[in-house]
Amino acid sequence: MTARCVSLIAALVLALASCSAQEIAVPQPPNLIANPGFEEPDLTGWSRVLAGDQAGVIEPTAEAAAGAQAACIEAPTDRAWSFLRQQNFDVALGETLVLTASVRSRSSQAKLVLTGGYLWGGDPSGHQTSAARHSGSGDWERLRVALTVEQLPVSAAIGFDYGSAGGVLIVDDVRLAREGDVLAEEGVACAARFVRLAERDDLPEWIRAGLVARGGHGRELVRRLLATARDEAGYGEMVAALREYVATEHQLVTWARGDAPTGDDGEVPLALRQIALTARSGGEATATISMLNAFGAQSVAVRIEPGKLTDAEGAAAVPAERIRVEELIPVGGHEVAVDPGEDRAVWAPVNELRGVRLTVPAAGLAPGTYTGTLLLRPLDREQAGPPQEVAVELTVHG
Amino acid sequence: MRLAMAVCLLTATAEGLAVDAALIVQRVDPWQNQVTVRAAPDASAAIERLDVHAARNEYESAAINVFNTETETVYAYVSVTSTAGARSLPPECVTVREAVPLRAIGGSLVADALPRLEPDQVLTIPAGEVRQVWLEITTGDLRPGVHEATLRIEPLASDEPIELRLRLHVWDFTLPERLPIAVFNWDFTIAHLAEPMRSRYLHDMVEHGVNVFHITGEPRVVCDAQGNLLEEPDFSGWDELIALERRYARMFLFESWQFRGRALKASDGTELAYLSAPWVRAFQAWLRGLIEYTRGIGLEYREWAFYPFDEYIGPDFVGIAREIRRIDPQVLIFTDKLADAEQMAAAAPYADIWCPYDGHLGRPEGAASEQIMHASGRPIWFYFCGTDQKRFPPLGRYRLMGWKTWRRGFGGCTYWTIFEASGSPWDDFDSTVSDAASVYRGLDGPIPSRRWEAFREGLEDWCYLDLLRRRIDEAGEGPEVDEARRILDDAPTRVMRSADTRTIEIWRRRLAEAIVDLGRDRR
Repeated sequence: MTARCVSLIAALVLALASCSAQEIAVPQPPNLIANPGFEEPDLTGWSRVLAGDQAGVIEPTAEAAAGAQAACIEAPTDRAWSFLRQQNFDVALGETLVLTASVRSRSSQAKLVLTGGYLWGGDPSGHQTSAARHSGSGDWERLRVALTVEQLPVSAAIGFDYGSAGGVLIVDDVRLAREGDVLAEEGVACAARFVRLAERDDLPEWIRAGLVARGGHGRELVRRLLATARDEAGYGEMVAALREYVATEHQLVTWARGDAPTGDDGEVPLALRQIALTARSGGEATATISMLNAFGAQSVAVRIEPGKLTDAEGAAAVPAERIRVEELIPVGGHEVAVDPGEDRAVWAPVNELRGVRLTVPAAGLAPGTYTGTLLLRPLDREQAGPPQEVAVELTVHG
Repeated sequence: MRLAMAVCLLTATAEGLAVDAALIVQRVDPWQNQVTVRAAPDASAAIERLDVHAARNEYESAAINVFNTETETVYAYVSVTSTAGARSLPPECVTVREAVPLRAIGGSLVADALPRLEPDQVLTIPAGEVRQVWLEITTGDLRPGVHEATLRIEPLASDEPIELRLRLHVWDFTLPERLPIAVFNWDFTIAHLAEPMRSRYLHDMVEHGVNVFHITGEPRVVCDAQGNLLEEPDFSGWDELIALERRYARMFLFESWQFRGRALKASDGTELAYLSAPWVRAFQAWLRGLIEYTRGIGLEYREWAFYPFDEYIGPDFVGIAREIRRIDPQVLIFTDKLADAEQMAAAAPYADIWCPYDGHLGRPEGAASEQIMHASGRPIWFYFCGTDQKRFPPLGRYRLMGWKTWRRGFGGCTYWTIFEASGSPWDDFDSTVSDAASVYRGLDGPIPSRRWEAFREGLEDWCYLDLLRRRIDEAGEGPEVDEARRILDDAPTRVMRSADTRTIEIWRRRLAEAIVDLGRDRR
């Protein structure tokens, strides 16, 4: 497929996707939380939970993310439980719930917690709990946790627990809803992010086309979900498909520099799947991988972990430690190769293209094909998704 | 009002402060492992000088945060250079590392791994973010006094480097080459490594104080249904490892798995019930082989112990221990269990080294058991464990091990484990079990964690306490000695109570000054 052809398709798909986006009317998910935006006086509907010494302070504040008010929690000592809580929702065992909230804090101890079967900080402790933390950046962040209910009651809490020294957080716009209801909205937002990313002009055309297609795929999933009743056959599978789709929203986007793949690359060019290398015996082969942390809130370290290459019989041919990894950093208008050091980790800053060069020596290798894997392991899955395994194939000519 | 002030503070710092420099450097608590990647600096806390105090033959850690206030990523070359003059700090005394954040089980982002910045020494700091540089400083045999170097952070795209004066104050005393206490670790990994990795991992353990080595992978019993050995057990598979570790070893622990309350299988398939006559016959012959082996390689009885059960000291332990005593009463027996008083009383005659779990100590319901352990007069070590250790507090969990050892008057300490990880130690989520390891696998060898460094520094703290006690014992009487005694008494209590870096630093410094003062008097 030529680049020109891909470009035309990309433009077409982009236009279609933009049109179709407007056709999806996603209903607002029913919110199980009372007074979710803290607009009613004196935190109505919420319980203030403080430690025995009552040292924490929980009050309304005008520093709101939306509306006129939010809630502010101050946990001044490391001995205080200081959080807001609602519980006893009308939910059934087996349902998956999603709790989201806008949270602002300078502490990475600020938590959003969803529990089943016990109260955070209560007794008996520890059966079901799901938590998300603020990064501590001081900015508003939308935190999200999900929980499949195995025990009742369900509790939603925001704040600090034991050992969280001296933190302050502001919370606003809390929502607890059933996953199926939330996913339609999240799917549309996720699709929009892919399509928006395709507008970058520093991406290869085929990546842009793939991103647009990816956006279209998400919207189609949402359409199908909205057209299916909760008790209809297939609803669960659709929720699962959309859950999987939304889970890729923090995916580190990776690809090999060069021409577009000629094989069937599917409509999801988010993760590099294979690298084909060619070398003369005694020479070496190189490939350059591009990485883009487009969907994370902050940069993330990514370990580049080449595995050994083996011949057709499975015998080791190129040890992993002989495969050279270099980070390409932009300095003075061009790229400079830097050894990432003993941890083989490179930083992927938000929205910056990052290049990694892989050099495989073919010294001592007989002509033939050698295979192995390369693992791209983000050290923060919340920001850049799970590890990506890439198949590596080295063809050596005589 | 208090809440309003808190909100104002939050707002001010979140929106950023008026700062001129592209990079701002602040000193931070090296034992705070939970970090933020995006952060605004407090410009008033920017530093131009970094002072570090240490004894001779000591490792010391310092951490600085480097903030990028620009709108583009900054790539900076980080280097240490000597300053001119007789008291310059040689650059080889400073290893520059980067604290790399990774997501731990439970959700925290911990800057736990500390890889060297070498070879290219480039630090990447994206716009609006912060990176932590870790300085591992070793004094070796530097002369007492102040030694200076310059830490230079030089953005590649600009000619405006930041220079920090690094001042190392070396106390006039030396920490011992060999720790007087036992530091064990369940180092299952090292036996399976090939050179040069094996030596590198061993060197790392030794430099962090480990002096009791764990030997596993025993030869299997091959016997008939009467328990007669059909093959002599061949222990020579341990030769290479023991020879390598010997020069650093206070002792070896031979951990056995095949005799652990289990039947032995004879060559004809017959099961020899645990502690039955044929079982005992086979065990006796095997253990005699081990004793012969240790004798053959020159190990004295005090230099090794048999480790028959893990975290168990019940009747099966007593059963095998009794057999060991019958075979050779000089063989030392190790146990890592504190059980109820009844089991402890039954096992006490056979326990030569106690190593209870930290969480089982100091509980009212365990007082009688502890009393039995102490009354035995045998050495006591202690340990902790856990599978999700990345989120354990470096100071509270690891550094305080040295202080707890001192305060309890124990002879050693340990934890499970340095190297063992479930899947990759870099990833808590690639297995059903998160990682216990406190060392990461690097390209050329082990990469330390903040926790591993904290453990070492806790052992060095123990050495300060021990050194002061020795100086007090040697000094006789006088007001300075009385003051030193007060410091020695107060330091562990105050440190254990507050468990924070500032308190440790204050009391470590007092201990150091008292050591120096008493040494001066003696001269």
